[in-house]
Amino acid sequence: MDTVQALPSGRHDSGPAPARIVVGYGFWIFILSDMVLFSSLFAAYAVLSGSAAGGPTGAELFNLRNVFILTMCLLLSSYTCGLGALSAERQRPEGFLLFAALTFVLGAAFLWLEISEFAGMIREGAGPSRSAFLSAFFTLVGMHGAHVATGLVWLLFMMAQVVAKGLRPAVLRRLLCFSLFWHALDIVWVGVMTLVYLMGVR
Amino acid sequence: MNGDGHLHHDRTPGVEQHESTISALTYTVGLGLAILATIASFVVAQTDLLWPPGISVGLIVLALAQIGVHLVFFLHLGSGPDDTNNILALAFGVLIVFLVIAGSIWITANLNDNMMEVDRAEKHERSPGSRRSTAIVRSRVPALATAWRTEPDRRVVLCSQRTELRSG
Repeated sequence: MDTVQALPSGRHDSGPAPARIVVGYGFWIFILSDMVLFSSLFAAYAVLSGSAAGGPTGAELFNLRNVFILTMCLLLSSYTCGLGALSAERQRPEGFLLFAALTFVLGAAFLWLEISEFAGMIREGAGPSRSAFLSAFFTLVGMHGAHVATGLVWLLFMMAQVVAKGLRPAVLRRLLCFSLFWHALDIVWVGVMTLVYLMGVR
Repeated sequence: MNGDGHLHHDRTPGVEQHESTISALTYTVGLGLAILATIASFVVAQTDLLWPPGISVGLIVLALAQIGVHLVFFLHLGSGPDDTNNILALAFGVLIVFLVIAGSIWITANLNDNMMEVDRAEKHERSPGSRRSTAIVRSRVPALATAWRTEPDRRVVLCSQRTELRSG
């Protein structure tokens, strides 16, 4: 280190911030704007959750066992996504691909369970057009599901990029954005789980 | 830092060699805490462990705790200099989210309070004071409307009749 002391020693002393920090910050801003989008849907749900229009209420529709499985799927997929990011950072593509595949399977299981829950509700006549409560429910939870679906497609692209291009810096930065996105979805789900399901069954 | 070449190279905007302090243990601890918070939420929601009127507050506290765990252990939001901007942006985001949610609930609750409820409105229409005026309006308005459409020359007269109706 002595020979290079003439240069600024820490990366924060001078010069532009490294790309990893800048890209992460930019994507963080996007995630926060996404949170604002979700906040308006949460607000709509909170306002309309009592307006069942004589139709089924949350307490009659929601199955908490199912919700617990959904939550665990997403939580574990966040965990495997983190371990995958760690393998990628340590330049271990096999480890990354293994954890990415696990993340994909858990995310797909989440999406499948959610879609079958939606289909069951619609079959029972509790579709989004039944009441204001159900419109708000399908919009909020469906928007989260759409984000998960987008994340799954993105994850497939990332796996393909790691196979084709290797774990080079640009790919690592995209992976950083993907992990931010995936973990943020889990945060939104904590809100959905609490506000929609746990408070809805009471 | 691994030698001169790397260091010089990394000074330019672009890639730096960064040594991560994150380990698998970070994620495992985060997962454990998040699972604990989730199970606690489900237990609180389905039992009377908490004082029942306080259950929603308890659930919100547990959700906030879990969000905190996610931010620190999964998103690695810390107090380091790299995170200052992220934390500031997060604070701004939280402010906007709070304004949107709390503001919407507040405004809508207020509108709802000021709204005449349906059964109250019906009662009002059935009350003796309003019956007469409603009857007059019902009997005269359709005739006025027909005349308005079919006899354009009489519109001035109709207008004066309407004024009478309004004042009477």
